[in-house]
Amino acid sequence: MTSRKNIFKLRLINALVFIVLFYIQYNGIFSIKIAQANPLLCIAFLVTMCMFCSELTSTITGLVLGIFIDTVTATPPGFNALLLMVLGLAVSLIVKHLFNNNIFSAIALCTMCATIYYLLRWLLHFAFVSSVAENLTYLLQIALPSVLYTVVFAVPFYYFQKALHKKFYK
Amino acid sequence: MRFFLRSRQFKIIVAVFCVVVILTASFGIFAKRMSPQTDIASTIAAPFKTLFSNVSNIIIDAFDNYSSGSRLSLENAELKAEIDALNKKIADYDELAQQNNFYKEYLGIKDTNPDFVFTDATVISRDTDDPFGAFTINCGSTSGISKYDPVITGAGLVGYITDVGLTSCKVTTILSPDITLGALDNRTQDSGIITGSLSFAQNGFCQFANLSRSCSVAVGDYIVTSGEGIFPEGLLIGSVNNIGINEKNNSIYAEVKPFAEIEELRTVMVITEFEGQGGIKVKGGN
Repeated sequence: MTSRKNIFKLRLINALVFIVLFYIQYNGIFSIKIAQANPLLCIAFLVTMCMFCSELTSTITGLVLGIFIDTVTATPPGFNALLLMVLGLAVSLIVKHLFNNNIFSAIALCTMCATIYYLLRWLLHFAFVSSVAENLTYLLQIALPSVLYTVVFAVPFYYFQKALHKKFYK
Repeated sequence: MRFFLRSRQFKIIVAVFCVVVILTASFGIFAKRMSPQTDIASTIAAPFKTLFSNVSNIIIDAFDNYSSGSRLSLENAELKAEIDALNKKIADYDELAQQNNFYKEYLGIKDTNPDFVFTDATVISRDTDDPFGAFTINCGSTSGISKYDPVITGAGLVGYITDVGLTSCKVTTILSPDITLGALDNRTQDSGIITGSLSFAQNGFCQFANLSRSCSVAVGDYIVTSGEGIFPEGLLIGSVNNIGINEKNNSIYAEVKPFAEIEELRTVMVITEFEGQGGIKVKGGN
């Protein structure tokens, strides 16, 4: 049986991890880039978290995280809030109705979410204002390596979430 | 799944989604500022961002001091070799003095432009996913900043304000293709536009484009703003690093290295008022 206290603790830990990842990713001083690949730490963590949460919790988490990411990214207003809200809900529904909850699902879902995120950013930022060569450069030299780099983080984050849920959801 | 689509949860989610879309669209289109939810989040997060930014800067400074301390003995030996090199550099002194005068002329921006009203700001976060170096500063509309205000450093032009919140705002840099500003070669007075592109931004350059075939732009020339559009006249942008021909329209372009170290910025100045402010010439802007 899970007590309210345990749920609160779980959410608090997740919130703290989100804050730390947010500042690591958007601080801009402690660079975690490899060449031009930049991992979407917050999205990788959101995906793995949503695999263990209800639809409503996932949606709200995605929305709140997206709003905070909107404060620092050069994307159209509300882009991250709406996108992460939908991704959070989609991940939660997919795990509940379609996929098994395992590490392979985490990797697949993280790949899917990171790809969608970068494709939409490409569509809004580059597709119509840059040359074909620059579009390809963005997709192949920035987006693709960044998606792969993001997926690497899905593995530790998944096991972290699994351990948390094992501890708090007895 | 079918049950979920008919559930109360799903209705709440759709309602929240619609509210976010309406708020964002209405504020973005009509008020031309951050959506309220982003503004609130930004206001809440701003002090923490400043704190994290300051702590990061302290750690980096401490690390730099430590690493430089351990190198002191090695540097001592290197200094002797440098003395010889410095003697050679004395020969270039006159040229440097000329450059210095040039900088004095432009970098004493405040003295030469008494109409400029500045707001100092600190960089509190960066969009690391943006290849054009967009960042957020810790001042917003409460400090008198408004959309399209130019952002500069002592070294030169950095960009302009794109999104204004109460206590923070986002800056688009001159490396971005979203920016299009009139510029002049300070030596020859050849005019063109400064804009960005991914291939240039990857190396930290922007493009001085649309130059006529008869222009006399040369490597090393200084590029300044022409005063058309949202930027005041005479702001230093950068120096010409390379010159090429645009294969599409056969015009000349120059690769410009901005004087402001955009990736290394910690503090910037926002020009909130200047003479002739008002014209706007930004892609997607009004």
